[in-house]
Amino acid sequence: MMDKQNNSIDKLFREHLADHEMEPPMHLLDGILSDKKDKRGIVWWGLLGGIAMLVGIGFYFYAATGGEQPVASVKVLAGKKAATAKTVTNTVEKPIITNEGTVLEVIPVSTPPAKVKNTIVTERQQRREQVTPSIMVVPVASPIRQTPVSVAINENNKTIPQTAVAVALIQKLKAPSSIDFNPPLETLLQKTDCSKFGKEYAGIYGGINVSIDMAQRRFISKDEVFDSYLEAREESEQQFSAYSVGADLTALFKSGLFVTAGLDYHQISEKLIYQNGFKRITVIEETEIHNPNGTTTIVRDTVVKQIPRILSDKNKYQLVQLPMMLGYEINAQNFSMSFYGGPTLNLLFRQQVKFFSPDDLVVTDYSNDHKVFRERLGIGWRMGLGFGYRISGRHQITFRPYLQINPKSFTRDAFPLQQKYIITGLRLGWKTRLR
Amino acid sequence: MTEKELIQQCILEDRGSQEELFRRYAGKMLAVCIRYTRHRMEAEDVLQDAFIKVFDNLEKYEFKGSFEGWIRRIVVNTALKKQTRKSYKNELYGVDYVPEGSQHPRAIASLNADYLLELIQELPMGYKTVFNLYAIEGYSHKEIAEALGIGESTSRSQLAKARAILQTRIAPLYDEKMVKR
Repeated sequence: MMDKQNNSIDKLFREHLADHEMEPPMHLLDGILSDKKDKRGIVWWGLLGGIAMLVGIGFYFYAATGGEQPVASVKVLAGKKAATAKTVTNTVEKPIITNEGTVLEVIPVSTPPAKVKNTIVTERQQRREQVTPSIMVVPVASPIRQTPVSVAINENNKTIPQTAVAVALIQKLKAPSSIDFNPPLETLLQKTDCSKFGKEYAGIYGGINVSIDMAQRRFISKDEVFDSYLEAREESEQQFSAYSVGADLTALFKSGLFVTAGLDYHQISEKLIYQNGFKRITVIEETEIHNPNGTTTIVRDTVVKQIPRILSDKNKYQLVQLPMMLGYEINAQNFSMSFYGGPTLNLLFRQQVKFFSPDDLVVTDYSNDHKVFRERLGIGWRMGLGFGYRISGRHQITFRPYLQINPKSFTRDAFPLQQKYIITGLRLGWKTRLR
Repeated sequence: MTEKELIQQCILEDRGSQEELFRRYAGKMLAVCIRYTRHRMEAEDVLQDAFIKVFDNLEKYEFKGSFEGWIRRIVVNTALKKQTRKSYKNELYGVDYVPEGSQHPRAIASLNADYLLELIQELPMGYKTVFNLYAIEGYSHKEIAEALGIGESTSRSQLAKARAILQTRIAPLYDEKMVKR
């Protein structure tokens, strides 16, 4: 402490610099506040993607569980007493009356039942048990809506057990009609206008894929003064390889539309080649001298040469992406073809890189240096084609060429060079129907 | 608007207040950044990252102690973090380095903050960092050693070398009595 207080050099600098103030660089403010917005944007996009997937899958399950199937109906004729109730359809001569005096009117519809259960059911029960034709309760008087119905036949004004009424009702439904209660599935599909595509292909698919990629890099100089730096970077850093692996879930709808979400890992590798001083090599040169007497003399000369020392390093950019694709698929026998597109959200961006510093062109390690590189790349856009071949009932192999554009530079705005990539790839995958 | 009100408005993301807060402190903090970096562009990078952290963490500020001191700690930590991530060739700690001394042809009268700042910037990174932390920010050698991941003895030796270089530069320009140890 004494040393600190007594050192006049320290004191001089402390007095002049501790509270030294410069002109505030207001031009940085936009970058600072937009970075905050970017972070918020990533959260919102993630949330939006999640919601889109949930809605998509939810919609699929809703459609798959027959939410739109036609049903027979039971009307509740509110306020009407048993004595005044009238039959309003040909097939059911007598209405059903609850023990509360409410009248149910039963109206069968054209689609015949695949299976009829021996109960009188409320709307909710019918949907769950897949009774076709099921019975729809039209809730005019609500007391009976969710209540298991005890019924009576009005002509005798007598309450009889629920099961007995159910049997009677079913017999009445059956008796006058010539409806086939067990038609072939194809007939049902035709009647419900359900396409062949939906029947055979719609479902939830899981897939894994691997891709050999091409990463097209572009350096963009912020200012002309950095043009020579740009050239040095372009010359010293060469493309080496790129690949990606991923897994995804696809909900394919009967219409042929599908939504896909998954996780991809991308790696872009480059090679940094640069000169680092010189190295000395010793070369022994041998010269053969043919003498007049026929003998040969070998003369050895040792030469020390100085040659440039060329070093190389591997640079690596790693990205974890969340793609959210919307697409359309068509099928013909065992083949399928699709096209798709959508955003990819960057979840993780890491770098293990060395390259020339813009200040002094010294090779510098910028690995995961977030002063140079962005922490995340935000939203990119991907589009592609898909080709599939069904090798068994559930499994397909897929081939999907794609193009991905990352609009944001890998480097921050303050860095002299913008570094952007367009990735193209050929994805080979395996797709399995999960449901 | 009081400092507390300003902070509260910034937490609510009021653009005007954010601008005002930046205007109040960015100038001082830029001067701090310049001492820890090699040039202004790098200093602005550090300042930008530091203020992103400041705005992101305003809610965590408990209104205890000086707000400026809180920002300054963030700025210094951000600058140090940048140094540990970057390799400065030929600027490693422990390397004996004394620049060949062409003296600055300045009059004593011009021995102002900007000139002193220039002198600090010319120091090798290791010397500069230790000198800044010890002489200006007031950290102890123990704290510096922990922050930079070096030994206390290294910190002492870096400081001594930094002082020696600065003294060499200043001596011809400044009253010898004043800079004499």
